[in-house]
Amino acid sequence: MRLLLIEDDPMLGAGLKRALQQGGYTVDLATTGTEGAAGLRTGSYAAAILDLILPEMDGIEVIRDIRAAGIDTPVIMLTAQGHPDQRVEGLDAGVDDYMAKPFDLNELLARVRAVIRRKSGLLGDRVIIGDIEFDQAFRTAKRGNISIPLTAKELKVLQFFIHARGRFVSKGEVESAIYDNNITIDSNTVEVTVYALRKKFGSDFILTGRGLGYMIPK
Amino acid sequence: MTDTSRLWSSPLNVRLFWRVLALIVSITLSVGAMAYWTAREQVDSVYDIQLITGANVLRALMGDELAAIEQGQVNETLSIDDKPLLSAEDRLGFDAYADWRMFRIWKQGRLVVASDTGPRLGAQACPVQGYCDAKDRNSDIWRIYSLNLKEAHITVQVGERQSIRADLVRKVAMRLAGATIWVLPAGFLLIWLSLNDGLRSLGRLIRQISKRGAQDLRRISTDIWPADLAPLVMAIDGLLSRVETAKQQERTFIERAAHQLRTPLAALKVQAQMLGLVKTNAERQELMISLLQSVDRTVNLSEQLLTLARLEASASSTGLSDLYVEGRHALALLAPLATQKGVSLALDGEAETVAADSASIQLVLSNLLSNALTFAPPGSEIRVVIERDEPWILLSVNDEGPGLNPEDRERVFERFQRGASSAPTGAGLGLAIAQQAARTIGGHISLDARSDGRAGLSASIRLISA
Repeated sequence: MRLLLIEDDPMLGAGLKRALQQGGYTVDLATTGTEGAAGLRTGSYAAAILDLILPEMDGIEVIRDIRAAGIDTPVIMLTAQGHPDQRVEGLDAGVDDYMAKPFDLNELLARVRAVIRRKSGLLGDRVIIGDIEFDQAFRTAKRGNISIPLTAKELKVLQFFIHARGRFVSKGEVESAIYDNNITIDSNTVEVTVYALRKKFGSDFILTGRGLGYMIPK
Repeated sequence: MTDTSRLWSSPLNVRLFWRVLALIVSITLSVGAMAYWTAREQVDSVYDIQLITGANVLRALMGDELAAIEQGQVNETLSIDDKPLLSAEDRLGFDAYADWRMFRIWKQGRLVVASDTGPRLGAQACPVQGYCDAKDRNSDIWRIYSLNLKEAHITVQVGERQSIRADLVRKVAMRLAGATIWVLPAGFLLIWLSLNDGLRSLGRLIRQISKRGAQDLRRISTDIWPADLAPLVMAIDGLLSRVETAKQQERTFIERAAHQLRTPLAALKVQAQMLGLVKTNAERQELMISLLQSVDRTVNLSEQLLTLARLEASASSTGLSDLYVEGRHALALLAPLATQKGVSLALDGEAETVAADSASIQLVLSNLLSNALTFAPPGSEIRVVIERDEPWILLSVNDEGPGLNPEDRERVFERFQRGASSAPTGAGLGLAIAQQAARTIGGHISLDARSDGRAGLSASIRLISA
């Protein structure tokens, strides 16, 4: 899944990008408010992490801008332990959650999962599809008590399908969700990964429709 | 808390009341005095007319006798016992008067007839026609009207005790005073009540303000107040709005400061947690380097904060420095970084001694230079210029960067305030430190467009030549 990180501090930005990538996300980094708002307006992100004080446009202005444009991407705002009024202002403007600096990485990852889950209508980290139980926090899959090993790429694709459950997604959507902008995409990666997932979970685990793409049924 | 040791002037309502009271008392007194004098004049004139009437009545009563005298039939020696001028009934009628009235009839300077109640006056008092006052042996004053009947050589005098008039006037005055004595206290009570009523709004205003908490900055003009209180209410609302603005600015400042202080810590924490998550040595090595950079940055930030605190606490510095020497030193420190970025350095001017200590000048120069280097594009030049501008020495740092909008030129000196495109690693303290250091040596840094016509920013400070 693709996240947008909007943070102007190079040290925090680089560290956080890396941590989120480690957490299984594809991460784009924007360093100004304008750049961040433009990125969010594309609507291609599962969630965004937005710093409050940014050059050109501050975090509150960014959130107002994208909410006014009808973008409902979940946004977690990074702040100092500020005045409650300020959080109220952010929440009212359309922020989904807050993290105060300095934050715990695991908590941030949990909150990112939570806002994405909420958006896709899921209740918890564990998803049961047929006889497969998938845990998004630990990124493991089990059939009964037998765990099914997954590669990083398979995990990313599976997560994306789960969040788009009940809806067909095109190959292009899958590609943009699992690749960083600067990496050249191997044209048949998606097919190869889907093939591998079907082998592990059963051929009807992922449906295909001509001209429609892929889907995990609800 | 009430400060009891403070001296307060007496309450407004009490002061107003005393003034109104004094005004009313003086008006009452003067009206009373005028009424008294008017009454007295009235009484005098009425009673005087009565005296004339009395004298004329006597003459009429004596009509027959007088006519006889005019015809020369009456002997010259009229005695009191004979009472030829006035019949016995006439006399009785006149005597029926109370003892405050009298009449006397003189003929050729001799008292012929007198009422029993007459005063014991000496020789013929008041011989001339008209009014006169005379004192009797008991020191009572009598008001006397003399009527001269020249043909008969008779003088008719009718008189009254003056004191009887005073009594009457006193009675009138007492009646007036009696009414006033009842009216005045009632009036004072009414005035006191209405004064307090007028001041009740003020009391309400005071209660409204005093029961407010420190956070409650709602305007008070939303209530309805008497028009007299409008200036006060407006002034208080103006103050409230200024306090709110100041509070808002303070909150923004604190938020900004907290954000800039916590960001390096957040980076540190993320990097430290990541160390436990990465698997290869190469990744760990890379993370260690950025972790150490973050630590350096945090140390640098705390040093900047300490420098600011020290500068704020220090009184104005003393000492002498040569700006050329200081400029050369500051540029030497910047040279490695500048070379790395491909920026060249230059120093213009000559030795100038100023009344400022070297440490403060270094703080000003190093922070201005590092700011200039942040914005200097590769291949550009940063120029430090020392100029004499009697009685000042002008020190300036000029870069060829993008410059700064005039409206941002004061704002960038605020703490934790970063320009729109400033160095992302800074906390926004460098220019604040430079300005604070400039203050300790009696200067002020101003940012302007370059005076030599080139693009870029010129940061300059005027110092006193020593």
